[in-house]
Amino acid sequence: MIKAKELVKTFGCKAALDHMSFSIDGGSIFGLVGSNGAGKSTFLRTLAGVYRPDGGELLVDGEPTFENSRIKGRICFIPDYPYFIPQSTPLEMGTFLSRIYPRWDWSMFQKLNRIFPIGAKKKISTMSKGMQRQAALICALSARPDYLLMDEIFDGLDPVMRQLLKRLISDEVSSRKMTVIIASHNLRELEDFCDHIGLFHKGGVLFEKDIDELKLGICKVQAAFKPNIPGEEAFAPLNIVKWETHGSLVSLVARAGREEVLQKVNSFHPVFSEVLPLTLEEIFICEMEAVGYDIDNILA
Amino acid sequence: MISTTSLRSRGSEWKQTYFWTMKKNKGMLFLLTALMFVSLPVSCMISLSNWKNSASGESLSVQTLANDFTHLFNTLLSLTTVPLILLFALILCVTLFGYMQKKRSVDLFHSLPVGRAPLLLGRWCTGLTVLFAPLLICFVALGIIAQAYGIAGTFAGLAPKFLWVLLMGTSAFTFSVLMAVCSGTTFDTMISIVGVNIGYPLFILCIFNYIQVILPGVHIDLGDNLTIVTLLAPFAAPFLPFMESDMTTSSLYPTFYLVWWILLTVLMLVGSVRLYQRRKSESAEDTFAFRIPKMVIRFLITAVGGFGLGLLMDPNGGILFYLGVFIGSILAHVVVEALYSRGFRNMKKSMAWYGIYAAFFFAFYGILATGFFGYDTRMPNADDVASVVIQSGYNSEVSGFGCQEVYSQSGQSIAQIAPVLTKPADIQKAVSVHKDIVDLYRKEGYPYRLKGNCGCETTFTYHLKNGKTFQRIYKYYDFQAQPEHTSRMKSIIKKIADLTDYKSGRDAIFYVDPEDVASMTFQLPADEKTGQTTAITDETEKEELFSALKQDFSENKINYSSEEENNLLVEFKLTFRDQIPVKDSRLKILVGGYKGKINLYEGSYSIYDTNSSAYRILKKWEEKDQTR
Repeated sequence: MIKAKELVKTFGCKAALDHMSFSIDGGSIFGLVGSNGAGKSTFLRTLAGVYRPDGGELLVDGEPTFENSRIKGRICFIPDYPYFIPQSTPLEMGTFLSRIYPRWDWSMFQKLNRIFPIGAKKKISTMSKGMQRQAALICALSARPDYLLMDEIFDGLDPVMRQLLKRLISDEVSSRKMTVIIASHNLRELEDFCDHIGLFHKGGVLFEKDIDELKLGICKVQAAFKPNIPGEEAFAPLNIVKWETHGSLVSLVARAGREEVLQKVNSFHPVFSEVLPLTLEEIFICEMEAVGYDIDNILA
Repeated sequence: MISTTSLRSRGSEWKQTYFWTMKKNKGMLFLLTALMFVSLPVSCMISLSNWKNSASGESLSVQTLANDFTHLFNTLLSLTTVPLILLFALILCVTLFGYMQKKRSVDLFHSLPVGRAPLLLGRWCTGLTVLFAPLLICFVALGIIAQAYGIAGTFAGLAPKFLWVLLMGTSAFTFSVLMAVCSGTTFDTMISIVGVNIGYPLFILCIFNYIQVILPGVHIDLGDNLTIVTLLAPFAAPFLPFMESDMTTSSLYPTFYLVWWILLTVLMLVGSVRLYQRRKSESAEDTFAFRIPKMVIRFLITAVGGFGLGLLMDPNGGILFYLGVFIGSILAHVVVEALYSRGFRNMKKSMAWYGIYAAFFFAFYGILATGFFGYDTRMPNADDVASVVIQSGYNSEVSGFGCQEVYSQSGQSIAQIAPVLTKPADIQKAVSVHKDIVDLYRKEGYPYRLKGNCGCETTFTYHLKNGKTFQRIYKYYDFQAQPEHTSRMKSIIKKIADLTDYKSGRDAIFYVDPEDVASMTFQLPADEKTGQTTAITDETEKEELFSALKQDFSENKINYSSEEENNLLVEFKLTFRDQIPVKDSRLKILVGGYKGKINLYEGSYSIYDTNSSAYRILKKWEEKDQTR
């Protein structure tokens, strides 16, 4: 289990993580989403023991990770730009990491090299971006970590490799309860892969939820009203996240269950009403708009 | 408390780091071994072989071969091995520790289950192995070569220099590692290493120069203070033992210097580990992880720039001097700041640090100009003085050669011959003369200021009754005011120059017996062209002439160099036998704590005065020969 308590990490006078508190259960696939500069990569690096927290604490199974080799031996971190020892091949990287990670599994390494045909004896520096990520993934999974941290792992991977990656990780999670944390802006990929989502904004966590719960707890309704459209305030006490009108058509996103919202909308006798499914991306945009992070605000 | 498991785990992490980095640096190891092998054992072998071959026909003694080998070894060690070690220390610092200055590599290495201490120490040990394994291989190879030529004993005596190179290689490498830990980029690491190793010695040289030029009574001999000049410059210090003209095994380095470098190396290593543990990973690619080196280097370079340009523009301390100090320091500050900040962004903010330099300069100059808290006027009470040794270049009557230097058994210079005053009245007079000099310097310019570099030296060395020594060395540096100052100094020194003990203490002949004279020859001007000399072999005559020379010296009739320089009557040359015991109490004072026997080199005594005793004796002998 990962637990952040009042976690602070600053760069100069800017707080990248500002008194952040939340927890991630073991055996889950946790998606970190958020605006640019929200603190996702900083959180992953702090969790990987690269950064030392400036305040609060970040515990993995009750222990801090910074300068804690025992815990770090159970964590693998694939950053947004993975680094490899100069002039090395995946095999050499494997040799290097096998001496350091206590649970290194050569059979897994060989298996993954068969699945990802990048060439174990080919120099990594000559590989494409996507192949380098595959090399990083091979090394990380061969270390048999309990916690796998990945930053923008889908970047550069083709759709087939993405699906392969998801399947491999899901297998690892289901077979040995590995915890996976993925920071990504590719919400479409996270949507059908993660079971939990944490939304970061300005160094804090806006929410952290089970993805199904998240989807059930927010819904979008379109309804047409004639002759008069009821005002936004008429829908109280519904928590309206987004409200748009186009002629007699009202489109609203509310933080409530589907039945509850429909019931409220229907009480104004619309000409028609329908509930539309919300994608994770739409939820993200709505939630971010709610905290003032929208295009209009940015352009204003 | 650190648990045993934790220690074991750290040990294992160190081992893995060490062996992995060794594997990755094999190429470097082979390259350095090849370069060193060619530069040391191969070169030595070729030279030894050439010497042997060129000496075929005539016999080449083992001792000659050993001496030549020692010189060659020292030369090669200082000109090739030490520079190679230092160059590779820099290269290895970049290859082994450059990872901490790139964000991407930091992500990998700092997320690995390896503590920072074992990570750093493992790589440090790799660096040392790559640096020193080739050196040890070369040492063994040289040993085999020396054995083959029958000079193994001589070679064994050179081992301390090898150890010195090992120590200084460790120091230079550890210093580079410390700079890498403190810096955010490789470029900053390099300029920090270069900055300290150039800035510090230059800064100390400037400080020395200013002190001795401004403050009366101080003279700093650079040769004696090279250890201080290189105290914080691990890339300059390794050359120090090789700078001795006599590069034998006996001329190594002072013990304190050795201890200092051992301690400093340990301190730098501990500091590197402690700082690395505190280093923020995010400081990679930033200019600095810790700002101390930047602050120190900026200060050193700013000071050197100011002091240097000030001296160049006006060595006499006029208005141009201050202008030079300002321009030099501000330029140096701007250049260093621009280099570190990659531009002029932080220039305005950095000016606060320039203020610190400015304050230092005014405080330093002000303290020296006002006599360094009374240093200029401080002198011992005559009652507390057991003896005083006075050396002065203002002895108007006497100049020339004589025998002025005392050497130890091994041939090292241990003392300069100078008058030693021990009688209370003489000491009283010496103190009074010293006070006159202090007053003269004050009168000629107080607050003191920078002066040009010329003039002769007057030294007062007081041996106090409490066992301590008090010394003041006066030089005069103002070229324009020199004639006036010289005449004033001469008149002051004259007050003691007439003292019997003063007059009879200016040459080695006053401190030895006639039987210590190995040979005595003289040459008349007429024989100068033919080079013909006459040796005095009769012991009685030698003794008589020896006494006469002493008397002439006392009466300022020897080495007299006035307008009559062309009227040379006779020139005596005295050689002394080896290993003379120190019997004279004044000579004991001169050689200080030295307990062994002494050596004196040839003395030359010119006589211009027809009334001199030595000349009259020669005349007497000449007349006697004619009557025979």
